[in-house]
Amino acid sequence: MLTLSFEGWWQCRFATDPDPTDDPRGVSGPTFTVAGEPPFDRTIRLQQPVAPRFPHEDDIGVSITAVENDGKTVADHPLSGAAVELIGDAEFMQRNLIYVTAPFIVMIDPFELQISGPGIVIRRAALWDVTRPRLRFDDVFLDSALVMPRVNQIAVQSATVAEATGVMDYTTARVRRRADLAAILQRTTDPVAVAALRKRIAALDADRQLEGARLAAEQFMGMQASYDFPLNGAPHVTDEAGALGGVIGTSQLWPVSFWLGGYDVDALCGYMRGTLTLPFHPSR
Amino acid sequence: MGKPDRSQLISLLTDAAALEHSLCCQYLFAAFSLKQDTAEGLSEEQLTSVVGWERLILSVARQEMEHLGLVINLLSALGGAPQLLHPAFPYATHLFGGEMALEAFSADTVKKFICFERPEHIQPADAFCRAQPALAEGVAYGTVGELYALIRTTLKEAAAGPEPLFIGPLAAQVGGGVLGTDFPRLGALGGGYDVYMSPVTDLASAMAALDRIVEQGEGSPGDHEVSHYRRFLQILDELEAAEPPFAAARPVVANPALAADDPSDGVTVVSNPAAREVMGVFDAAYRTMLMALFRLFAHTDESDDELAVLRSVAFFPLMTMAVRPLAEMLSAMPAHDPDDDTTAGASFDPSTTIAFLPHREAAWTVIDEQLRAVTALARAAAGRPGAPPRLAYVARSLELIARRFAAGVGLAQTSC
Repeated sequence: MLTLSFEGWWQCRFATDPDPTDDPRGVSGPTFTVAGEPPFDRTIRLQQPVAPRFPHEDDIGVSITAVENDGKTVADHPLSGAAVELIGDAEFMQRNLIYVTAPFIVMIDPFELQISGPGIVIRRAALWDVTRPRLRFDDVFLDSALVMPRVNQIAVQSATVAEATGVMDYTTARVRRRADLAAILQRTTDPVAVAALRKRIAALDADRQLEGARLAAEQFMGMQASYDFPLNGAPHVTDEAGALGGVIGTSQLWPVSFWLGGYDVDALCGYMRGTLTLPFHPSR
Repeated sequence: MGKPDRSQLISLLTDAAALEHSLCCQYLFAAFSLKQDTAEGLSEEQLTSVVGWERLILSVARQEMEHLGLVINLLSALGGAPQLLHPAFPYATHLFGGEMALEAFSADTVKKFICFERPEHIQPADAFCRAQPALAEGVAYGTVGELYALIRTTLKEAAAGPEPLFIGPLAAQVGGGVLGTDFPRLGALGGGYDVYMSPVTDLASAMAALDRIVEQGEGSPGDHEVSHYRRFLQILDELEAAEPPFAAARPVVANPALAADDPSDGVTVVSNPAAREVMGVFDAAYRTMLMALFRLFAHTDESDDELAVLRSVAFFPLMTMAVRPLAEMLSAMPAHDPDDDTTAGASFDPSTTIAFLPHREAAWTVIDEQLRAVTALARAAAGRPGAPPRLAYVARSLELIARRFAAGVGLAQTSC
């Protein structure tokens, strides 16, 4: 078995409750667009963020951090550092509790994971029903047998998330962010950037007034949504140069286990950590 | 007033529920009239201010919904029925020396809101209130503060009597768990979306609910910054300090309606066909939401799962995925044909035909039929050339809500 561990920051620019899911700007929830940014699009991006914000202008990207073969770490594996992506505009599916009846169930659809390293592309989707690969969540959200395998577990005020993000005190993190943004504002002259910074600062200042938004902001920072399901769609493996040194099994399921959490409503990004397990037979 | 009795309390609380609902609609109407984009003639800085004002007004409106819920819990605890209706706008009130009306955001509208939320110790003239007319014969209160003070006094006196006062079943009340506002965190619950819902079981919990309503509106000595009164003052300060002054709101007509019974009743009949069609969708969605809320706040033998289904219709998706986006769309649509540079708006017409549906299974069927009807209306409107792009998303959301509801209460799913 080849076990690929991955982690890193991801971005999702989306309006959250109580704003409508399709709200393009964010008003009542803790997330919002600022001057100079395009409207929200709800896409979960593990690579190539759109209009990334301080302090994550340069560090958004989920990548392979370790590779194990049958439990043994493989140093300098060709997939080390490979980019992990979700293909096809993946979204968190909740639609203001139309799709689900509990606020912390956040299924992801579509879910097609791609890992691309030098000369290597590994890609596979998780389908709701392998016999009907075109089904989307809209089609199956009332079918518990199809939905249950993809339902996440939730933890709030997660220690695992805190260790990954370094945010050990949610309130202090918001206060520190406000100070950082104020310092940036002092040296910013571009009027659009100034308007953007002022809006972010105003939202952080509103923590004193709008308790609901503050609670949501802090809850997002500590939330950990954990997923564990197999990739069951048509597999795609490209390794023309044989860099993998073996064959990845394509008739078997590929279990993926990961969590998304530590979402920073001010910066519109969160952290991800997980593993993808691939059947692997080394070349002789 | 003579010896306090249950019927007096129920009457006062019914007035309070209608009042809270009415204020909520007026706040929402003003918030949804605000411009949303620089393409509407705002600079980035102005837009940032406008979004901030909308955020504050919507936060107040959510707490008015909370007040309405708390008052209905009080009514339930006393054995009364929920009150989810309000008079059609506009209507005269003796409370504020003015009228209850749906009006676009402006300095004058904000001043009216400041008057609504005026603490008792602030002089009316200092809170932009118009001259208060003399109270008519038999009217027991002249301000909102006096209404709640009277409720408190009457509750205390009634609770001191020998007969049990809080006779309603606790299970009939709606708490934060049912509404999804109890954000779980270590050591505390409640506060999600700035809403704290609590059950009423005795005099102490009744007083706590009333304290919350009054303090959120007027503020308490140690909590000045967060009261509704202070939030509206803040908005007015920022609006009047804006340099240069600018129009923050769309040119939304006052008290928009699909029809007027009497030309003098103060409504603006919207004549643009596209806007009228969307207004029809809004009215149907709003009324369906009220119907579901009636059942949610007066549920009888629903299981927890069935309650969750009712909640999954009324509290979130219909309010946030239908009522709000439809109202926002309307304020950007021409009100009249030919276009006179005014825009339409949501009527928040409660209709007099909405009442509590008392029989559980029949109620589900009625709500199911309403959901499918409003879905069909939305889908038809979305299919018209030039329909607002968001309307298709609303129509799809309504269809999914209808499907979830039908599945959740065990009704056969048919196409909407």
